[in-house]
Amino acid sequence: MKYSLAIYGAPYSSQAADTAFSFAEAAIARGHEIYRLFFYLDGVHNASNLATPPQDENDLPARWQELIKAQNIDAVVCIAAGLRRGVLDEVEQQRYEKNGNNLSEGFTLSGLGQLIDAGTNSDRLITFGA
Amino acid sequence: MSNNKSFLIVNRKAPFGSAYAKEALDVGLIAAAFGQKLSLLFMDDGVYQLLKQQDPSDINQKNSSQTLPMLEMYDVKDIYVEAESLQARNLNAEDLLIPVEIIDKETTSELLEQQDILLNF
Repeated sequence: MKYSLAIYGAPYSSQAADTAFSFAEAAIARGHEIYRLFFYLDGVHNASNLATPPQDENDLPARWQELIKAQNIDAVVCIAAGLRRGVLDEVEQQRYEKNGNNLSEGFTLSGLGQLIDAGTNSDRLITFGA
Repeated sequence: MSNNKSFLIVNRKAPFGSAYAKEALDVGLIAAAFGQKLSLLFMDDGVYQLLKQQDPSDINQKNSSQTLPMLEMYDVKDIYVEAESLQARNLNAEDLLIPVEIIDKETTSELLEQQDILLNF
């Protein structure tokens, strides 16, 4: 089955993002396809490469990055939600003349149309963190 | 877009205190702009999103409710409110900013059942 995941929870603030991650891993292990991960609301913080959790805690942003790379998953961060909360790629850094950028490799900034597209083109769209 | 699925945005949270109401409305406007078959449901504290005369300027927030009438411009006419949620908060249709269809709990269940995609906020 083709799944898309909408992730609204920030890592370390709620369980939503961890649950989404476990779901994605389990779905892949069962042979399902992840059509898209869509990060919205506080979920955009999952895509920050500046998160620095203590060593004995789950480094969820790093694990997302590994999973996305290993499985070649389309991982989209809502650009409006990301910009508001300080998740920027190099293009947006330059556009808004900011000091740095922090979008993890493997993620892309794009619009809400990608969430609608995920609903349209997946068998299931599952929300984590509503 | 190749296939036109039905989307229902379910709004269950108060307009202020979290970003859910505002960002859910953004999703609604985009879905409508994409020409998707779209309905909106307001229930639980989500019914407060529809109240007239909201003024969140004292808490440094934008008044997103002013955007609600734009839904009609985008041809979004299927806007539902759960009756029990209104009653529990001592509200009725006259308190609401836009015309809506008020449906009971049972009809709400049917509405949820009929949709291809539920977007919960």
